[in-house]
Amino acid sequence: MTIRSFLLAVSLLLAVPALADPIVVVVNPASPIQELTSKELKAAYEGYGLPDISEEITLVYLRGDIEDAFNLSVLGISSKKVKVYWLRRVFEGESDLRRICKTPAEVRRFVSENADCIGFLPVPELDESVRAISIDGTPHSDPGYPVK
Amino acid sequence: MTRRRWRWALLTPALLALALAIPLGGPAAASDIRIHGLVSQGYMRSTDNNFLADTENGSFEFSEAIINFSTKAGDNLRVGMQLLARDMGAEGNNTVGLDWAYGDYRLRKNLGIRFGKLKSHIGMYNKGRDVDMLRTPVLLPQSVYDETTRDFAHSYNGFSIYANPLVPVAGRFNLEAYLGTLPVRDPNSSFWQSNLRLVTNRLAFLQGANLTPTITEMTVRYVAGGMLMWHAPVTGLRLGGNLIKGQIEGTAFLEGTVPLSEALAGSGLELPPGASSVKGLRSQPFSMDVDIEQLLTASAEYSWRDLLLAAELLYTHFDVTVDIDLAGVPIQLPTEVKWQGYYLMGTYRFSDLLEVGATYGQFYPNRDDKDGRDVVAQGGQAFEAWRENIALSCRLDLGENWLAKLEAHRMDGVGLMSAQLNPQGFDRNWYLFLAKVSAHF
Repeated sequence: MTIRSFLLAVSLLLAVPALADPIVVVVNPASPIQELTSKELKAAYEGYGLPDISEEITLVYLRGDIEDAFNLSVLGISSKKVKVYWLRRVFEGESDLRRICKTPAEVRRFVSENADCIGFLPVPELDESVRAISIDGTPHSDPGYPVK
Repeated sequence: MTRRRWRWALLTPALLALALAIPLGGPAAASDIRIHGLVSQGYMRSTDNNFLADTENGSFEFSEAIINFSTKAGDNLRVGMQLLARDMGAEGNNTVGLDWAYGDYRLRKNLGIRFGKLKSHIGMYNKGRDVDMLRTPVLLPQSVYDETTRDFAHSYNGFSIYANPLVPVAGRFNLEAYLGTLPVRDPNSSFWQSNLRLVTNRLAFLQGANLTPTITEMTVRYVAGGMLMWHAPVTGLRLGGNLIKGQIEGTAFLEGTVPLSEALAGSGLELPPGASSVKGLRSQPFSMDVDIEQLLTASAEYSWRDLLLAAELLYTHFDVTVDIDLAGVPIQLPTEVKWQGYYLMGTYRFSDLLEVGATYGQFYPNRDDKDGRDVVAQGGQAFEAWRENIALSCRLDLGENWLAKLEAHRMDGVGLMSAQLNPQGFDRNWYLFLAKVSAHF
């Protein structure tokens, strides 16, 4: 293998994550949240709430491969560890803020019916019942959108 | 309407209301009642020494059943409770009790107060010690989370104030300060027995005696504590510490035999003419004052991908004063209980099915006597002064909601182990094997 082909292979490997599909972070259309930073999104999914909202918020999870990708992208840990994190809270007497949904339709319905929550969807499942928010000032349609 | 019909007339709407409030898998209102629970069954077998149960012959007295409820009861107010039944040898015996019950009012987004029966902050893992899903090992590292301390330190009744500030650059902090009292379920549990024995063994007056303490009353006047946890900007790294102070009062008596001729030698006291020893002695009830000067833990955990590394240190200093009237001689005897323990643990998840772990820990019931010289001087064996533990653990996640675990411990020493469970005496080197299956919802 020549150096050029080796570098090409490495660059292709590094490029794979950038080609991953974006995961759209969504809120209720009436929510005051317009955008979040990556840190604010991470804090929200750790149970520390959203900026400028004093209410406890519900964290809507969508089961499947998208959940694994979301956890790695936003929290930097595997879904197994996220599950342990929340089980610990549940059995230690702290609040369980998760709402586990099995289908994108369930996520859309829950988010559209509850103002104090945040969720995520694959791009093709986005519709007008929920509102996508920008992360780090970047909309999900932008190649630089960080949640993938 | 008959009495039975009345009962159903009252129960049916309540059950219906509960059923409608419980989420059954699909989306529901954000403020419904959350219900979680678990059941587990384990088996323990040891060589040479009994560990918490009759483990030399193998014991199934190792189980938990838990159910908890929580709901958002109003703006910024959350309430919850958990019922627990456990069996661990002579302790628990599957009696259902209140494990925790709290009200949690958020004053601001990351500032709130809690009240009720709350879980104690001891190390990073005490609050979840009954929940197998939260860790790889079957037993939490015994050098910091000795099973006999569970009934003592597991939870407190009182109030706490907490905050979770996010400090720019530094990262997230969790802080909690609390004040309350510890419920003493069984004053004659292994914890109190073993520690009172530690105290009485050190009393020069009683050296050479064979006395069993029986605690008739144990009251915790107060406990106060604080917890600090720092989630460093490095993903997966957290460092923390806990400090508990408090005061305990109790009464007890000693029963057994005392060779008074040896004990009184050089004390200035004299035996009645012709008396060389007092056998079958039962002391008058005596009082104990225990000042918890400090129960301190320091913790570090690093989690990266499928790897988890943890290390914790336990350090205690209890001042114990015993006012005892033995054979007509009133004496006030101050002594100290100074534990020290630490462990290092690493776990790694190889696949969705398999996770393995290894733990090394040391525990000293008296850190001023790590080599056991004082214990030998008191008539014991040196290896009662320490417990060194190497454990290998294997966790198998059999499905989304259930798992099995296997674990082997190699032990050197028997520090703080129950003499009552080992009336034949102790052996220094021994092994402990555990298996457990747990399921949760």
